[in-house]
Amino acid sequence: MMGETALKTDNRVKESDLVRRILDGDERAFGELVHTFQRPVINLAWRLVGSEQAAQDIAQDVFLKAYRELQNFRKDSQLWTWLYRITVNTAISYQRKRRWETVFSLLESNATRTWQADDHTRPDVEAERRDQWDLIQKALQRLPANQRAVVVLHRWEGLSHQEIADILGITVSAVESRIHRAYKNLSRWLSKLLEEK
Amino acid sequence: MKPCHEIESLFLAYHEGLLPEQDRRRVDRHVLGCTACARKLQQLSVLWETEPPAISVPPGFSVRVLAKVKQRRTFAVGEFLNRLVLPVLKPAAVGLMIVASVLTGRWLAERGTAGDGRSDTSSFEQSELYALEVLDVDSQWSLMGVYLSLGEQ
Repeated sequence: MMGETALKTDNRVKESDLVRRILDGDERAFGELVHTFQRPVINLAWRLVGSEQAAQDIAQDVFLKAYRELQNFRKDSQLWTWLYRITVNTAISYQRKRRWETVFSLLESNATRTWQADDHTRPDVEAERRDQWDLIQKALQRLPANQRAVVVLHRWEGLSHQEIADILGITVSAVESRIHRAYKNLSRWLSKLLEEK
Repeated sequence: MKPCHEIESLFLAYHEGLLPEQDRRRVDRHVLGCTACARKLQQLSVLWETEPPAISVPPGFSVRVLAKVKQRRTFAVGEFLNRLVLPVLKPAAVGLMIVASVLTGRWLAERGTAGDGRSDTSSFEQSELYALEVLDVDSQWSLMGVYLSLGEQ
């Protein structure tokens, strides 16, 4: 199962052609890369840090880093894996530097967010969904960054343990161990938040 | 029976189907005998099924990213100019100005247009005075540096 914002392309030929054009200085090619991956990158960043503004800042940094480091991109890996790796690392660094701002951002009112509302869902159902998601985000933000990353990639990006291992640069057994610990901690936090509600 | 808080920590993994068989049975047995935990498991399962809303890409995002990339490239070129090229270009420009002012002074002297009490000065001194009039403070210091370095040679 893949979250709707996960993006995978199996078209290696197309990807390596895009990378080659960018390295040759083709600005339009870089524009294509940004346009293709901006939505999944922004949404992954948002799920990792819980703040829309922070997610946009992070996404911008991700693409700037990608541009700077594209010559290091290994052609045997996939662009989305590489971009997701940069996104996770950038999000972790961002939060480390701005610990308190991230905590306060969870108090942003729903009205300031630009969620994509589902046209077929009633507003009250949509509002409840947002409240529930807020609760999940509060619990997520209490996890250590590395546990939060595996949960987001596993649960909402629908990635396999191997794919998560590739993105985070760890072994599959390390992924399994982190997922186990993360779900344990998340269970406790969510139960507590549900009791307080 | 295991305490509730221990079983509680297994709820999410249970819901995701990640528990080993032994732990799964432990949870099943516990919730059969504990209505509070059964209710909590049910609430957690419903909550965990919430699909996260997707946030929109802000308008102009890719344009801003491309602009930043261009800005960084220009900045990198500017830094290169500042650090390597200007220290060489600046004295060269000053040198050129000195030469130009010398030639101008000579030309003026030949034409006899220096009738303001400076006609007794040499053409070189006239050009030097001319240069000092038109140069800004920074360039005057550069000029002094050039004279000093020439003197050392």
